[in-house]
This record gives sequence, structure tokens and C-alpha cells, in this order.
Amino acid sequence: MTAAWIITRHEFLSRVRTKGFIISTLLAPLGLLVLLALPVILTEFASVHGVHRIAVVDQSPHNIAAKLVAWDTTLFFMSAQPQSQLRDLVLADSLTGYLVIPHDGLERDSVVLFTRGGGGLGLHESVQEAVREVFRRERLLARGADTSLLNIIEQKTKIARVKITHDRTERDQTAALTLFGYGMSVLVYVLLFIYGGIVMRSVLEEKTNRIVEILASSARPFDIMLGKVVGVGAVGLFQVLLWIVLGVIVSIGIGSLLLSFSGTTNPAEALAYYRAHENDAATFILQMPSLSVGHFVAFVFFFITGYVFYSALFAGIAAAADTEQDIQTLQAPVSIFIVLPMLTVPMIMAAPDATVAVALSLIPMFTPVLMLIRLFATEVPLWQVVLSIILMLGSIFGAVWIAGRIYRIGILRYGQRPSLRQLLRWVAEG
Amino acid sequence: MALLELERVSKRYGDFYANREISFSVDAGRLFGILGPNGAGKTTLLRIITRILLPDEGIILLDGKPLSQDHQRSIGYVPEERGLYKNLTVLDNLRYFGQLKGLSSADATRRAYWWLERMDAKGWEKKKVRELSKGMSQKVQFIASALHEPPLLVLDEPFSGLDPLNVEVFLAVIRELQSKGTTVLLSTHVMEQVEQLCDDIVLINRGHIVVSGNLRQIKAQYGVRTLELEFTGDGRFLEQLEGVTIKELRNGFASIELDGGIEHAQQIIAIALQHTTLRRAECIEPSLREIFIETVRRTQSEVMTS
Repeated sequence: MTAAWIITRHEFLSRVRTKGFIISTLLAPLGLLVLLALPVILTEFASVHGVHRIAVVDQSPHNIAAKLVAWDTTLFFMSAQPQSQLRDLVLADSLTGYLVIPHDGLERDSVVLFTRGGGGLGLHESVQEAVREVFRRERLLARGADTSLLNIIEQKTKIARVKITHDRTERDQTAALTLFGYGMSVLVYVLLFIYGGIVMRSVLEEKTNRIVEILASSARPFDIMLGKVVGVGAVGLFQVLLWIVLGVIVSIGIGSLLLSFSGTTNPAEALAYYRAHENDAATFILQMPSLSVGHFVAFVFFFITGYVFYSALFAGIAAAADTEQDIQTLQAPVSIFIVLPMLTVPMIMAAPDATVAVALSLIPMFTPVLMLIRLFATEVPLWQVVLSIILMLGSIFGAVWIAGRIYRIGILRYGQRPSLRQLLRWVAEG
Repeated sequence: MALLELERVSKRYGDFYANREISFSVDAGRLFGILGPNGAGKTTLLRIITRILLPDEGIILLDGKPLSQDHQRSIGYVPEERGLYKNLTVLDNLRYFGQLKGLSSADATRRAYWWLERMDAKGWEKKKVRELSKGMSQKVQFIASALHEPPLLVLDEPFSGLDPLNVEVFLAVIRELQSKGTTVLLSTHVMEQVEQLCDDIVLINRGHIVVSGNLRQIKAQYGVRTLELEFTGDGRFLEQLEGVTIKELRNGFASIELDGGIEHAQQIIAIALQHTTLRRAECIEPSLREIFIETVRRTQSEVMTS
């Protein structure tokens, strides 16, 4: 067994066996599950059981209260009780609130909503939308608009809605896939920092605890660095693969959960059910496109290449440092290249085929994040994919070579933090 | 037969020579001491011998062959500062370092248990290194270097920070390994231990070798410096003698420094017999400490004046 392999295996096994790894591997998809499933379930419960009730006290001569109740019967009800009693009911939590329409409310275009505060934006929006729609209709009627005009307005609205919905189904896949690509590239971005950080801290720990001297008395510095980068990377890859497996299980689970909620086994019927119930989250999930194996391969590939590129540089940086503070200073010129592409992501998502997007995604430092997102957002020409892979692999060799030279000298140097000029000399002299 | 040979080995950092044209050879089965003040270049030299660093110039032969990467498995190394994974158990540390030296996992484990018992450290295997005291982790570090039974053991300041009891444990183990044929190379600035342990030494200062050879011969070479006398009678006759510096003279005891070595001592003893009833006379060789301090001072001032 070669030393590099022994180091790789040790790095992998000693990390995978920790509680931290097991917990973070399990909790991340669980968090995703909660994030996706919770709004669906809550919206479903909220709309079915109607937790919010608002009494309408109408002091106006226009009988607006009845129209409000007609607009949303689960939310509003008419009340003749005095406000003091309603106030007590609200304070006793048996009523969400009460809405007072002053006698000149329609003319002054104002109503007052009394609640205990809070209640969420959803409640506020529902009340506002209802009041606006009803008031608009009343105002139009008051100015002498006849019902045919009102019908025209409402018809128009309806036609527009249908169009938008129709249009959406055309573009839906692209939009959703772009969002997936965004999620994946954010994940790569986070993983580059997490696992690059692990490599960095671990190299520094070995240096400050003088462990590296023991290692260097048994193996070449380059093998030590490579073993570290590959071993920690294997942990990251293992975690990502576990997440993909868990993610597939979870999404199948959510799918069947949504089906059983809607009471059908036909996805199309389920979709119709949730549309009818205006459960946007559930509708969104059911309309999600399924990812292909190619998407996962791209994700894993760009995670691996990005990781090797950056973690090798981080290993070199940590070897040149003495303290955490040194690391903070020295890593900045490298970390900036992980952060920079994230700033261009909105632009890439908006126009993934633009020349700027193509050019940026071919820059090796940016490729892991930007080419990944483009692969989700658009049909990337094959030559661009191949070119980005070639450039990426070439840059990895360069980064590992440079880092290896810095590492070899750095691990046995203590004292002053080297300047950039000195680091360059280490690389040159190696 | 020489196990390890160094020929004009130099290591440079910029313009600064950490080691300059170091040459010596270490015979198999010997205990070899590398002495020198702090910053003399001892650690750099040991790192070159363990192939952690590569020299800029010079040749190193181990067992007659140029030192190569494969030779690292024939060398065990205990660095000056402890290097163990604090969050791993003693056994995990030992097993990892043993495997890096070419042992199988099973062999490394078996030997780790044997060594822990040998070093009065039975039952530590499941302890995390962070729970260990300094002396304890030093023992673990030593075991890590000896686990693969290397023919050459290199120890950088192995006794620093150890209590006397633990020093005895280490001395016993080192002697035992030596008696089984292990060659031991150690660096230290604690002279008393060198005098007790080492067969041969090199003394380095500012990257150069200033004294090297067999410890007995070196001491003989520096000759008899001090003569101690115990007598009955009047010792003032000593004050009349030439080439003598009296360090101490009191009732019935004199300690004097000589210029002329052992022959000179004989003459003075003869004179003392005429003047007094001599009860004890001892020619005392210089201690290694004295040789060390004197040589270091001399080379320092040579460097200053040149």
C-alpha cells in the first residue's frame, strides 16, 4: 500500500465515522423535506379548516358587509354585536379580528381592521384583496357603471389569467430547471467552502500540532497533501451521493404523500385537486420537472473538479500559515473566486446563452458554479462543455502543482507569515 | 560497520547555512549523540537524516546506499515537539503511524498493545490523546516511532520536559533497543545524559561540526585538567609551584588546575608526598559540559573575530 493511499483512507474513515458527519448527512435532507413539505401541509390545513374568522361591522349605507361575506365566506361573517363585545372576543382569542366599515368608508376609501396584531402576511393580504375588489366594484356601480361593464372587466381578468397559466406551462420546465440549477450551484458553492475549509483547518492543525513532521518522516509531502485532499473529498462525495439517494427517496415520498392527500392515484387529478384548493406549494411540487441522470452527473462532476481545484489551493495556504488569522488573510485572494461567480448568477439565469455567460462559464475558476447552472438553464453546445472540462482539468493540474510546492516548504516553516512574493518564490524554487 | 554516513552535507535557507559541510558516520548498534546549543542546526540535520528535508549539497548513505524515500521505513523519528492527533485515541494514532511505516493494521495494533504494556501505559489505548499528560503523550510518541522496529531510531531532544522517573523509563528502553542491535541517534543539550548514554558524539555550533568522535577519546584529548588532593599537613607548598592555578585550597583539601596534563599531575603528586601525608589524589577529566561550553565559546569568538 502506498503512503498516499493510507493517508486517503485514514482521512476518509476517521471523518465518516464521526457523529458530525452522520448528523449533517441526515439533517440536511430532513431540512429540505421540512422546507418543501411544511408549507404544503400547512396551507392545506389552513384553507380546509379556516382558522381565521373576521367579523364585519358595517356602518355604511351600502351593505358592503354582505358582499364581503359573499366574497369569502370562510373568512368573513356579518356581525351586529357592539364593538366592545367583539373586542372582548378578540382578546379571548375566539375571534381573529373585526373589520369596521365607517359610514363614509366607501367615499373616503378606508376601513379599519382590529386584531391582536400578527396573524401573518397571508391574513393581511386576504383581507386587503377582498376589501379592494369589493370596494372597486361598489365604486364603479356608484358612478353608474352597469353590470355589463363590470362583466367585461372581470372577463378580461379571467382571460388574462388563462393566458398566463397557459403560457407558464410552456415555459414551466425551463424556469423550474433554472431554479434547480441555481439550487445546485448554491450547494456546490457551499460545499466548496465547507470541504475546502475542512482541508484548510486540518492542514493547519497538523502543522501547529507538529503532526506533519511525523507524516513527513513517513511519506512525501506531495503524497500527504494529495491524500488529505482526496480523503476529505471522498467524504464530501460520499455525503453528496447519500443526499442524492435520500433526495430521490424523499421526493418519491412527498409525491405519494401529496397523492394520498388529494385522494387519487392519478397525478393529473391530484394536480387539479390542489389547483382547485389554491395550494400553490403542492401545485408547484407536482409540476416540478424530474431531473435526469445527466443533471446529477454534471453536479457531481463539477463539485469534484471545483473541490479539487480550490481545496488544493486551500491546503497550500494553510501550510503557509501559522494561525487561523494568517489563514483568513491568505485565503481571501482564493475565496474571492468562489464568491465572484455567485454574483453573476442572476445574470446567467436571465440569459444563459449570452456571450458574457458563455465566456464566464469557461473561466476555470468559475466553471464549477456557472457551467453547472447553464447546463440546467439551457442547452449548452457540446464544444463548450468539452472545452470547459479540458480547461478545468488543466487548471486542476496547475493548482495542485502550485499548492504542492507551497505545501512542501510551508509545513516546516514557522514564524512570520510569508508574503505573496515569498509564496511565489517558493513555487518557483520548489 | 557504518550504518549511516554523511559527507559534506549542507542545507541553506537563502544566505543562511543551517548546516554546512557536515560529515560523520554512525556505526551500527551505537548510541550516537548530536550536541549543540539552541539554534545550532541539530533539528535541521535530523530532518535531513529522516528525509523530511532534502539537503542542498552532500551525500547521505544508509546501509551503504544513497538515502531514498524507501529508507523512511527503516527509520523511526521522534520530533522535538509532540505530533499526535489530539482528537483520536492512542490506538488510532499508533495504528495510523504504524501503517504509514508499512505495517498492516493487525500488526500495528498487536505491537501497539505490546509497547503500551512495556512502557507502563497499559489501558491507555482507548484514551484520546488530549486527555494525556505531557509525559504520557511523549511515551505514545516514542512508541509511534519504534512500532515498526526500525534499524535506525532518531530522537530529537527525547528527554525534554520529562520527570526523572520517566527519564529512567526512556533510558532503559533505549538501552534495551540498542542491545538488540538498534542504532540510536539522538540530539540533546543535556550533557549528563549524553555522558551516561552515548558512545560517539558530534558537537555542532552555527551549522558546523566543532568536535566529533568517540566520547572517551574526546575527553582524553581534552586531557586532565583538574587534580584533587586530600591530605594531612600544610598545603601552602602548592602556591610555590609553576603552571598551576589553585581553584580551592582549605584545610586538608585542594583543587588545582594544571597546564601540563597527566605527567604534570604525577609530578605534583610526587611533590605533595614530600610535603604532606597524602590520603587521596584524583585526576579529573573535563566534563562534557565543560568541553561543550568551552568549545562553543571558542567557536563563537572565532566567528566574531573573523
